[in-house]
Amino acid sequence: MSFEPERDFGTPAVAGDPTATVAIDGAAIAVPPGTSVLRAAALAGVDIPRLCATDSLAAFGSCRLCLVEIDGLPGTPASCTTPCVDGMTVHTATETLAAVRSGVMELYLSEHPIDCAGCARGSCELGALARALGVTESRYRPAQPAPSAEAPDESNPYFVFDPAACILCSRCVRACAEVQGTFALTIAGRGPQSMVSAGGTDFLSSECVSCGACVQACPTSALQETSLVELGMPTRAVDTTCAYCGVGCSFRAEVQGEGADTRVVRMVPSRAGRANEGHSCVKGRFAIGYADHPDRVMAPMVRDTIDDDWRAVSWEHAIARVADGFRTLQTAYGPGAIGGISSSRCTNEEVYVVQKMVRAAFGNNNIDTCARVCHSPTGYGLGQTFGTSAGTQDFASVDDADVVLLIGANPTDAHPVFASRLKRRLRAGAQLIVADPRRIDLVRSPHVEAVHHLPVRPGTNVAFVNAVAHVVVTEGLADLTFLDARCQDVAAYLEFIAGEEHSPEATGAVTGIPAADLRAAARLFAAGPRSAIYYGLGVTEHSQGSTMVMGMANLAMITGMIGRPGVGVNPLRGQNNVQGSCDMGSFPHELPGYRHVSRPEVRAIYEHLWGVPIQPEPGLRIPNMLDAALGGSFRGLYVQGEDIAQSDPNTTHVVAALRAMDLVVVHDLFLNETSRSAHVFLPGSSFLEKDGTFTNAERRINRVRPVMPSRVGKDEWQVVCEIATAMGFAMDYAHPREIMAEIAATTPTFAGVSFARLDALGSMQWPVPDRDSTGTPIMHVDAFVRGRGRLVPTPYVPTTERTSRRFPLLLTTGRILSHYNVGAQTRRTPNTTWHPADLLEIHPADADLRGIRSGDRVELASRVGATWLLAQVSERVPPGVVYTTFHHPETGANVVTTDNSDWATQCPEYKVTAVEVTVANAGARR
Amino acid sequence: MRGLFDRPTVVNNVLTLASVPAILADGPAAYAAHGTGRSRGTQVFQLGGNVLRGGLVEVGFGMTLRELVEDFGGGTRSGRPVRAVQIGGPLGGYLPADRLDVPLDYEALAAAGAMLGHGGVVVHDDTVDLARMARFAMEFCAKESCGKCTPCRIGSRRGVEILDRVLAGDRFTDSARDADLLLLQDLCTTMERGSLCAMGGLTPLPVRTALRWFPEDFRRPPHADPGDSAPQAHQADHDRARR
Repeated sequence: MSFEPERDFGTPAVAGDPTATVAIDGAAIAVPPGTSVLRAAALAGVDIPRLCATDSLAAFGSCRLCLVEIDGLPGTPASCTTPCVDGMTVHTATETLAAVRSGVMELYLSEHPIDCAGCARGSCELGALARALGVTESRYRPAQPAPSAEAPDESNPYFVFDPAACILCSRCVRACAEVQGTFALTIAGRGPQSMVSAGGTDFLSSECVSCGACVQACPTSALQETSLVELGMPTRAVDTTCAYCGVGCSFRAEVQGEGADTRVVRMVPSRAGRANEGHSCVKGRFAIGYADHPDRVMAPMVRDTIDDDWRAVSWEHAIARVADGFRTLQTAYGPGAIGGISSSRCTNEEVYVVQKMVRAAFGNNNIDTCARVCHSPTGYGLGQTFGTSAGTQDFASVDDADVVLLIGANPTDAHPVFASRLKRRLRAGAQLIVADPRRIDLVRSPHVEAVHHLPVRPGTNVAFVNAVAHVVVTEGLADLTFLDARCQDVAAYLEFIAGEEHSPEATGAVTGIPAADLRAAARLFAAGPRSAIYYGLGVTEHSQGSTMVMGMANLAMITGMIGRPGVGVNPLRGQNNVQGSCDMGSFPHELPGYRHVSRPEVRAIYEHLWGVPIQPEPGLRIPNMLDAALGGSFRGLYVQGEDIAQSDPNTTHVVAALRAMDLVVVHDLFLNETSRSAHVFLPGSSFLEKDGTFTNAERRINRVRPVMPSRVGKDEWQVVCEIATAMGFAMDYAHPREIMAEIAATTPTFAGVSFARLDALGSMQWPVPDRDSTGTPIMHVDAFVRGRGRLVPTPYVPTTERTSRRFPLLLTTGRILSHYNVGAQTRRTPNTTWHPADLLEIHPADADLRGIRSGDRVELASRVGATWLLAQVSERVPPGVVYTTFHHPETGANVVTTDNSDWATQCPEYKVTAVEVTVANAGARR
Repeated sequence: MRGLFDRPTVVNNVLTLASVPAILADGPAAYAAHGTGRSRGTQVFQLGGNVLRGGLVEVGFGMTLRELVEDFGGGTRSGRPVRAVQIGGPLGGYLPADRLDVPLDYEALAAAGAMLGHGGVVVHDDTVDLARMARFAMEFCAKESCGKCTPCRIGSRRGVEILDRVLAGDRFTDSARDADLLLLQDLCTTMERGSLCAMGGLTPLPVRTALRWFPEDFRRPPHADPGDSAPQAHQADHDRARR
């Protein structure tokens, strides 16, 4: 390897002041007491040999290579398990130690394959360490092979387990337990018969979630990426950010080759990444094969009508077609006849130029984003109550939480790396309350069990959160000091929420939550002392999504759970840059930084810089664009990196609207459901080709760095700039860093952000008000962004989507671990091994009533439409509720979802649809 | 880690607990009056192996090993001369017949290159092959190892293999045997210094004491020992002693 791996200090850091000064081979170093001698030595620049120690795992002491001698102590203690005490004098390189280390290494080599592929490749630490110790061969001549010399386990599509190369250091087992929290691996057998086991079965059939923590932890080639085995060692590395969920994991892309010939060998999560601290999930680490999938469109394509075949054209031709087409439509139908949709999967810089193109080149505010259909209520609700449209904490805050209230989120599937962090905290003693219609994995999984599972009926979140607040207020558990010092409109809210209609007893009939459970959970949350709310789309995608967000903000305020570590209101955001795309002015009513277009002083900033007027009225939201298209006034749309025909509700309506337009431009990696109705297809670039920034769910701005140039000849920001320029508004940047410079110059919360500072600091959490600031991990510490936190009464208004005799069940939707969003990426990877199709979960009672068995093909019908998929009978869902994912287009889950939407933001009500399920084809039974 | 009922908890073995009634009845001074030097009180020895009168013997520290074996045990059951006594348990050291006058206390035994351990005493007559007993120590370790640390998990297997070669004798030249015995000493060093716990750390003690006091047993020509049944018998002595 021609690059240095990230440093490993052997054992985890210990908190505290460096009051223990130790001398290690003559070098003095001060460390917090309790720091291992091994780590202190590493900090002092002394590298002690070891194989079973790594700083992501607690010291284990099994390899017996890191032995040292300590003055005044007998024997040769292991430095990984020996804590530093002030005044200690340590020797790491004596003759005695060299003899023991050589002896241990000879024992290892006696069981290590002479033809170890990892040793030959350079990916086996054992071989490298043996050479470093001067042990080239073992004098032992084993009479029998090592007991673990079984055939390699190649069941997992992404990695191989070769027991012959295993040295029983338990790093994989411990990583599975301590880092990932899945406990899928164990050491089976005892003594010389010990061997790593995935619970007596192969890896694929086991509890393994394929996060790869074991592969990363393995010091030998016993657990190795299949890609590394096939391609060999990487030659260079690029630090970048994952393009899947809103956790925003930092990765080191280890690659071979240069320029267009670059091949990614493996993705290694960065220890330095503050969102993930060296961990990852199956998607981020392994599911990147889509980037060079043959389905990728490599050249721009156009067609006259959507019934014609696509034909490949030059970029110049395609850009001219778009620019001319949009201008023609504006001439004929007015400036507001066209609009654009930005993507939450693109970089901040790409999103910024899209909204700039719309506002400056299109000359209107018809810009919206896919956040419309996910977390727009978060932006609205938190903006109204706290004054800023983002979560209040960093992820590390959960390490300080005593009570976690998880509402409408399923982190082990949708935000797996955060889930691992949460599970670690729960194993350390924090208590969990889950409010979700389904029994998600966190309700009960190895070494984690929720204290309360409150199975809130879909559509009744506001009644639920009001009941919690009611208990807090009426039982005298509210933090009146906090309310008095920090909040406004307190009396009116307290009077509202104390109303008997909000009591758990009164709301229980609606929410389905037993009053005693709810009261106990409310008391637990109020008692804290540090209670945090984490939530997902199960909160926002409702007709009262914005109300629910405000209800949670109210709850955090009345309990004083805001503005310090371990508390807060934390959205788990779905897409890698959904936070950033909102920050960058993707909403029709807001310029970057959530500043309303009606504010003349804000418009003036851009009008001055861009030299064009900015419209003072909000533009069209996505649903308004679609309605206007059917009405004939909206004729052209630019869509970047979003498949609205699959992801937006009421598919029939979406497709009809698209077909009513004269010019639909899709800018994406793959042809998709939306491009079926498009006239121009512009090929996009994958995250491996992008240069820019993503902002994750904790407001952390991470750098995305290209490991290879754009494979389609133009970066997406360039394409957008060229369209705008061709339309007569010149947009010209030499590099994305210049776009960020413009963002920083015009947006106060980004004022201190630049690529250079991000490169130097690793990442920053906005607000970054100036160049002295390194960002803001926790918000609203001394005062709310808006001054005083505003308590907003949140009356519960039932959704109009009700069950009836014809549609007696409630459908709710969600995610699964192996897939991401509409599956455009993950379906083009071996992740389909785990989840080849969407399934409809149905409770046994409801299934029995309808004669449905697992594996049956069923019809799922709502008032809007019908689709077909396979049933899975499961007690995860309560009676009366069915559940599915929407990762596969053939499922057409959104064919059945309704036009209902959040009253404030028009975020669709994906989570509540009245349906009926019937056996479609009993012949499919196996 | 938690104590019983979440309270601070002391864990003692049955020997300690058995001493408590006598101390409570007669007072600490009476208990401390037994013994010698820094080894005060009494020790319960488990006298076994090839001995006429086996069983539990509780005496004050300080009696010699010879008194224990000959006076309490009555010598060997077979009537043949005592050749070796292992003291301390399966991981204890062997002492030859001419070194049995060592007092049974912690300090004196340590000085003699042995240890008191849990007080197990196994007597062997002159038919014992100490190379086989060394192999037994390694085999015992391989059987009992938890497998966590390398020296114990792998070392015990390698130790058995080396001693198998040494016992096979005829298949190897003297220089090969010398190399194996050197490797065995190196393995013992690795296990002593490197093992995580006393299991692997003490296994070398019976091996090294066998090598030290009975070197001739490791250089016998093949099939020169008195009968193949003997090793099994000696191992059976061990098993009886452990029960």
